[in-house]
Amino acid sequence: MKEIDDLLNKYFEGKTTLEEENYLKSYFRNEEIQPEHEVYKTLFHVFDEKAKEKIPQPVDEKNAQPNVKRFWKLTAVIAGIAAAFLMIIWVMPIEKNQDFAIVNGEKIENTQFAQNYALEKLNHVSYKLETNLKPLEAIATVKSRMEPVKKIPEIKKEWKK
Amino acid sequence: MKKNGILILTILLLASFRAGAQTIDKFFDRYANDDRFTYVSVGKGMMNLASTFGANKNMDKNQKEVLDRLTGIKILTLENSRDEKLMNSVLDELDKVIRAGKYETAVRVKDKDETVNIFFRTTGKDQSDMIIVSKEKNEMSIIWMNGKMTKEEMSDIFSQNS
Repeated sequence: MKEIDDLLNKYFEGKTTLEEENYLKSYFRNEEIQPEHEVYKTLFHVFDEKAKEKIPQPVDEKNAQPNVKRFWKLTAVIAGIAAAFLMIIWVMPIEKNQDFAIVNGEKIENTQFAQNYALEKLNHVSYKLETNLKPLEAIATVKSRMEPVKKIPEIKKEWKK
Repeated sequence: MKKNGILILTILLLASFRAGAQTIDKFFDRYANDDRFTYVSVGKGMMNLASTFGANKNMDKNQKEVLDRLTGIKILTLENSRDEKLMNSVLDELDKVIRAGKYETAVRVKDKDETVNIFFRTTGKDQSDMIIVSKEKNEMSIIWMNGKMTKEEMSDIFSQNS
């Protein structure tokens, strides 16, 4: 056991070789450990556990780049689709009932009422145009009635012949 | 980078196109919810309106077809109002819309205190807009009609009917 004590002293002084350290580790893995060495058992078990852990591989930039590129490509595609949808919604208004009236700030969704109101206003404008454009109609009538008069010189010429 | 530039340019062009088309829309939207005005919108069911209009006025088949081709009528009316200032301010605003929209004057009728002005423009192939402004002493109506028809066809709604 003296050998172990010496090795332990050497170990804590940092003077052990790899072989000596492996020897110590194998000793502490063993179940037959001297009671005075029990305190070091946990320490060497920790070393064993740590040795089993896998060291994460350093990120290879060359391999990582395509993933980043793919992410941006995918983002661009999704953004493009979203933008297209927004444009469609924006440019093409949603179909909704267009027959309604707003009277005194109150919306009346009554097709018949809206159509009757529109009809009344169109008739009103039509009546006003009819009344005011009557003189023009009279001119047009006079013009059309004067058409035979324009032919008198031609008739006269034919008579002379 | 170049692709992004083209995309932004396309979006801006579409935005400006839409903004231009909305000018008269914005005018109507602005006053639609104003308590002092009555606002009426007729879109679908124009055929019903055509048949009623036709029944009252002995409208011929062609005129009914023309009315049926209207895609929308919007009417803004200010009734029983002595607020001359409001009327003039609305008409001034509408005048700007008409100028910006490059409408041409189709008819101007003035009789004492009453005026009827009709403005027209073509927005695409057979796509037309007509704005009728009827003003009386205490009443004012602004009618905006649009549809797939020529200037002559749209004028027929009134001229042949009257």
